[in-house]
Amino acid sequence: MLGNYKKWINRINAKQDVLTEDNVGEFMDSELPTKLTPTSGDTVLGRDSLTGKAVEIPTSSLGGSGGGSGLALGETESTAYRGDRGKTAYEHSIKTTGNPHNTKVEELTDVSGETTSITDTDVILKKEVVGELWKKISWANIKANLKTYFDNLYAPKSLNIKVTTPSSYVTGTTSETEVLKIEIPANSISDNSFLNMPILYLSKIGTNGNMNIKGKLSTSPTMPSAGTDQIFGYTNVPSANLSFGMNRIYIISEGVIKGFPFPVSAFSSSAANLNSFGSKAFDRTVTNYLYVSIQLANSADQARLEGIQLTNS
Amino acid sequence: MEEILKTVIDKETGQELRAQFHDQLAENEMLIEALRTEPMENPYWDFANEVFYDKIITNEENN
Repeated sequence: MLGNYKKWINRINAKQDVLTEDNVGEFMDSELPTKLTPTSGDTVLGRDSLTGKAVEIPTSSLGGSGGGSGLALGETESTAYRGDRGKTAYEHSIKTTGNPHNTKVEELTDVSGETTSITDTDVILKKEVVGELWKKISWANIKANLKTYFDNLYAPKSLNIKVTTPSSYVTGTTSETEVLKIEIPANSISDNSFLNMPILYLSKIGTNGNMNIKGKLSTSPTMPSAGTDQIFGYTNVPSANLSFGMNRIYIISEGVIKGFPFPVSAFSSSAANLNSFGSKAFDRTVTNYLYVSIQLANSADQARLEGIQLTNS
Repeated sequence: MEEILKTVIDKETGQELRAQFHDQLAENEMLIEALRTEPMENPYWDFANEVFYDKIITNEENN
């Protein structure tokens, strides 16, 4: 084995003064050593750094497991660093995409304002949670959200409720009886507008006696008692049978609903006395209810609401 | 199906509040099946005798 080494070294040094990668291939395989992994005590082929000639080097002079460099692994200036970690670090260092260091927008110093123009595809950033990353929002998305917001705020309202199915007959009691409840959804009535009641129609069959009719506009989900939240009220003079109709217009403005403070006429088959209505607070941004009630003079009478319409314009 | 008319009273005081065909009530209200048939100025329900009565409002109560 060692004989082959010596032949090889002599051949190299006889053929050319300097051993290079180019002339290694000129030697026959049989002339190359067969033992490729030297052990302690072996001699390996090296190159003299001054003369360039091939020389034998005892493995004992090669140092530790650091290989040919003669340096041990470590993390100081006199040790060699692990190649696999070095490779990973190098590949990380040359990345130019994917925000490899998780840099946050607020840590950048070159973010400037843009006031000249903006297009649908432009993006701004939104941060929902402190400490989390910012998220992209396109200008097109912002416009869509603003449209929804302002449409709800300024879109013309159109309320038109018609009730043409008669209520059940009120009979057998002289208590004030609720015959209608209409829900007016929040924001379904515009501000600075009119609430119209083109028609309210009732009928009564029975004997002579006053019949009270009341309308109440309230946020209460149950009908208020007596005159609470009342916006109209009629008392019909005694009559056996009665057909009664009315129309009313109210003004909605700045949180108030205004009516007529003085008696007004109604369509009635017998005389009717109006309870006047001036104004009351009205919050159009919450759910309101219109109630209509009938109170009979005689429990044996029968009366019902035939129909009503409620509009806003 | 014909709707049944019922009377709504204050469940604490017995004061008559209204009559109605449905069963929706406020927290302080209760329904009774009895219907008042006589005119009264200030009707209340007598829980013990199960009758309506006209409660007289005195000057002290008004003040």
